Amino acid sequence: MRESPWFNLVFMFIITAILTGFLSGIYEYTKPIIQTNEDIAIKKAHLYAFNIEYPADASPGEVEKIYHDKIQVETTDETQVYVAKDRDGKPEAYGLTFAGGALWGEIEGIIVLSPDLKKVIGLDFTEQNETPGLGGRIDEPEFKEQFRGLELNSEGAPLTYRTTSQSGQIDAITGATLTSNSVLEIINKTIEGAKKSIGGDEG
Amino acid sequence: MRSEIKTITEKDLWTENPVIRQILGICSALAVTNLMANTFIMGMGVTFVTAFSSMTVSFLRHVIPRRIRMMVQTLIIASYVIIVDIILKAFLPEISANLGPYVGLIITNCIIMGRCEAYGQSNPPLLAFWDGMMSGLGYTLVLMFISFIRELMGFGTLFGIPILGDWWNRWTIMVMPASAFFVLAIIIWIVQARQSKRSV
Repeated sequence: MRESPWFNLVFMFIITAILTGFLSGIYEYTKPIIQTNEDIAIKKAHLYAFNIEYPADASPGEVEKIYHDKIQVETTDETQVYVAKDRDGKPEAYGLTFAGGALWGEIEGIIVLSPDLKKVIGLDFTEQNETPGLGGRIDEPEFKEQFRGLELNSEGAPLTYRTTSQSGQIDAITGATLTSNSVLEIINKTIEGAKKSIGGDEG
Repeated sequence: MRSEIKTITEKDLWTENPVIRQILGICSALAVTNLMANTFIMGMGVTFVTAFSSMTVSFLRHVIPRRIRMMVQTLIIASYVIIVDIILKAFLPEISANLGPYVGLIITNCIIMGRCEAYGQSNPPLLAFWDGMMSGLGYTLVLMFISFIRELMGFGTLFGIPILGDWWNRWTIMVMPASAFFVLAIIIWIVQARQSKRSV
């Protein structure tokens, strides 16, 4: 009986059903926790890019509250813009999320610009799969802090790398040229887009 | 029973170490060994999956039809791997992000199916569990040793704590997967040389 095809089929069905049921249970149980984790990780990245300080040991609830107090989401026709406003309701900074392909996979993040779109306030990544220790170093403060308070070029590409033959604003990562270039390309495209969508109607 | 436990432990950790002697699980030995913290979690994941899969296969060993036993084993292994993945995502989100796709790839680690096939399906559950755990630990030990060398030379840190000062010039090659080939090969060379000398 044990070798008959029908027994095999039924056996496979039963064991699959048991294991899948078991996994679904665990999945359902941990789903809210995982969602909160992902959500908080993104909010922390946004706060960092907006240069809004929060305690290093802040609980998810506290991060949520700080975020809610400072940052609002405004949806325009095409894009979502994150806005930090001062007490009078005047915008202090615009945050734009970006996404694009790099060396190994998709890079996602946010870049925050001053209201006149002439300065970078900060930048952070929410998703990247570059080589750890090489391209992955885009996610290290050393790289990201370079963007703080940076004046954008009024002509040509908004941001450029410093090389021996060209004076730019930022240093690329040694040994990770492809990642560095992709990151800059994605960011420049986002800034150009912001100039069109935000700069157009608010001067 | 006691002597059996002792033989299993000795075999899995040293004389028949899955990585050094059987050359299994090499893919992840190359991929996740540039930081000790990641390696440790990966090792624990593999140990957990190997132990429980082997035990489950052993529980079902009189019921599983021979012809479809590999399908069933894969199904069992995959379930435990998904559990590890979910637990990491829920409770250790940063490490989960660091390990990325490699947690899911535990499924393809040959050590796990190897133990189910070679031991789990023909031995009682508790021994199978022990055998799986020891194989997992044998794997973890070797990987921890590789990552010790790679993190120290590649980042100048151990478990993220700076050990070598600024004078240390980081070896970029140690961060790249290729360096694991060299480190692993040298370890295998030394261990094999020692073991074969003893057996002559």
